Amino acid sequence: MSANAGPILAVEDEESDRIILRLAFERAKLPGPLVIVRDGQEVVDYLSGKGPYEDRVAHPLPALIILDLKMPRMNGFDLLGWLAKQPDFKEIPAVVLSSSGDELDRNKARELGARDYFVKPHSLAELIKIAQQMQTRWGATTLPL
Amino acid sequence: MHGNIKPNGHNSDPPPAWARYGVAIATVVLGYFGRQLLTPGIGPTALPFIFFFPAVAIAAWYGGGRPGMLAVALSAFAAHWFFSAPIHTFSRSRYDILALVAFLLASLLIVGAIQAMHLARRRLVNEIAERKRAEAELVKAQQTASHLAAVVEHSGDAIVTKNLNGIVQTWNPSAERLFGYRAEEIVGKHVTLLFPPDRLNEEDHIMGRLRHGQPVERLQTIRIAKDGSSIPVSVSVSPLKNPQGEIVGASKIIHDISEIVAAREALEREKELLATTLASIGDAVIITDANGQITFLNAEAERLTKWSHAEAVGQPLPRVFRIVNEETRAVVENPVEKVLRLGQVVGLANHTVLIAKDETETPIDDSAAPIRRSGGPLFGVVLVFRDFTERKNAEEALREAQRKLSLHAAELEATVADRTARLQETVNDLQSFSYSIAHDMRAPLRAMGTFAQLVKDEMPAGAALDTRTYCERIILGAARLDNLIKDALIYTKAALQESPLRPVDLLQLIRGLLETYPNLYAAAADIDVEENLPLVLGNESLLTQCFSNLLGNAVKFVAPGVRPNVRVLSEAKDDFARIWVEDNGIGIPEHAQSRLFGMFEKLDNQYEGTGIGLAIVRKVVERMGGRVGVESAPGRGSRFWVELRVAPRNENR
Repeated sequence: MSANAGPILAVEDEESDRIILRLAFERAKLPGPLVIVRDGQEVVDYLSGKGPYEDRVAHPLPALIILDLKMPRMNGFDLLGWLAKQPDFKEIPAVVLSSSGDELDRNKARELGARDYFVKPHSLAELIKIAQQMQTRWGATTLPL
Repeated sequence: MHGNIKPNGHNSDPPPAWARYGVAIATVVLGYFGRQLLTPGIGPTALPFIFFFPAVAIAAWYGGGRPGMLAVALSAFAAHWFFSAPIHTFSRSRYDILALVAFLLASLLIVGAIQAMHLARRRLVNEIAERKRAEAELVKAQQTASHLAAVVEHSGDAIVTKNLNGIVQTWNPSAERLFGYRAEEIVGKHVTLLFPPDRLNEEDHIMGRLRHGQPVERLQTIRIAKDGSSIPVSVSVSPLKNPQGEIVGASKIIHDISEIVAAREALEREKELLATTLASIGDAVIITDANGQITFLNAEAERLTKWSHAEAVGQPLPRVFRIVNEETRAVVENPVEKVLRLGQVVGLANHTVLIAKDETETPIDDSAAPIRRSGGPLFGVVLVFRDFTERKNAEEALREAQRKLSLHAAELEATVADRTARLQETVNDLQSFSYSIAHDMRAPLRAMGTFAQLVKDEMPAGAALDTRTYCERIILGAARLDNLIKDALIYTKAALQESPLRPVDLLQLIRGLLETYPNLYAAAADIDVEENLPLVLGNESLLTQCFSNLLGNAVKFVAPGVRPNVRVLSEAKDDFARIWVEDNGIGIPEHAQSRLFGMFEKLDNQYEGTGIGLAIVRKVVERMGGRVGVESAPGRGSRFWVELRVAPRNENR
């Protein structure tokens, strides 16, 4: 993991879900900043420091990547595949937060290197719990409490 | 010998003429000297004839009539000349002449008497000889007759004689044996007693020939025995003649030929059988003698060679059986010649063509074999060949059929591949559709639910109760729809997803469920699982769907305030195991049981649910080749069952 306390980088193409996600992370009182991009391609751009993300100081490498499986342009599996091939970024933990509870999707995501898999819950309260679990499992060492 | 009377009393040849006449003269001379000897005693002229009587008698006795007559004449002269006075003159004395005449008469009587005696004696001798000869002939005839009688008596053939009227005269023992009539029974009866009614005219024919002195030889016919049985016989009839040469009857020799006839009939049957066999077999057959000349050909051989049996018999084989090589047109060696040369079975090379009489050609294959009496010399050759055309055509047709079949199979395969591809496409479409539902449709629902919750949470304490209730209804509706979508997805997945079957330990699977699902925790319900649940052939994820739904239902549908009590047990049914899930729930009325496993069937709105759970159970069990069912009555709990195939024992998980 990066020694620098980077932000949590989440991908969410749905406007409502972005709001809910941000709300949940705020209510979970997670310390680090939450950066939300709209699709897989933007994650690639962010990590590679391309386009709007050229400035590494303004856009430091994330401590955790939260991704959905179904996304425009580049979907979650493609992103996981891409990440696995990047020596600079493959240490960054990537966890899936998807609507799909499908066993096949779970297995495929794990095979491609996802560290964790959460099904999007129906209520805000449950999402807050998930955010806290993520923090506990993947944010402890990187995010100073 | 008869009639011609010769002198001399012996039966042997009479003495020659000179001896007979010589003796006559000599006796007369001796008579002269004998009288001269008496002259000193009685004088020269007394008893002049005394010694001439014996001379005449001796001459006649020895020489016969004529020498006797000569002796008479000489004696008369000598007596008259030498001993009648006057001596040495021819006396004219009346007394001397009278004496001479008396002498002549007496001498002639003596000659005649001796001659008669000779004749009588000769006749007697001849008669005796004749009688002896007749006696010898009689003995001989008697011997012959007894030989003939013995022959007739002991002949193996029946020998019968009849007179011209057809009446039986004699009847030998063989006739008795053959026909069963004893001689005394049949002698005197008419021979037609032995004739079958339809052959009575034969007797007229036989008698007709006999009257013309013609024999009947070996007439093959039928005669009837005393017991009524028919006997095939060969009859020879010869005329019988009396010593005057007149035909007085006939002898019949009747030979029993029933064995010959039986043998001939057996042979005929054999020939018939062989001919029928040869005619009916599909192969062409030609038989030749040891010279290679055709003695037989059957119908198939006639058809192929276009030679009729009548035309072909006697022909040398190569004329009828013309064969050439299909490609080179070279004449193929006549197989019969080869067999005659080698004395063993020979086959014909492939691609042989038979050229028929009308020049049409037939592809054939054949073989030729020698015919020999066991161990004996070869006396013929049998040639067997068959029309190869049909087989060639059949092979051709088979190849064509195989080609069409493989073409058809390829088409079919292509069709199947095409259909499969289209089906797969449909499945893929459905799966993407499901995927889309899972992700895109649920997102707005989540948003609705979550924001309604936020609105409700941040509502000031003094907000209207109605507003709060509305928010709760939005939240509940969104949650219900989300569950519905989730279950529909599970159902679709169960229906579409490929689910390989492998042995699954049901006990372990169900225990896992009890630890995973909060509603199944021991705190919430008593669930008793039988220890010896079988190893079934199934799919772990499908089985999880199945039993999580069944157990979930079992604990859910209980009357308010009743603690769920569930039992899971199994029952063996041949290759299947029936797993029972029994509850103490509210039960299901019988009329509802049939549609219980349908999609979106909810029986009781008091209980939260999508109405898809049991449809999922049925679908997944069917995917694993099993069946589902229920036994229940309202208020008495339900017993759901699932039949699953039992995993083969030797297979491991």
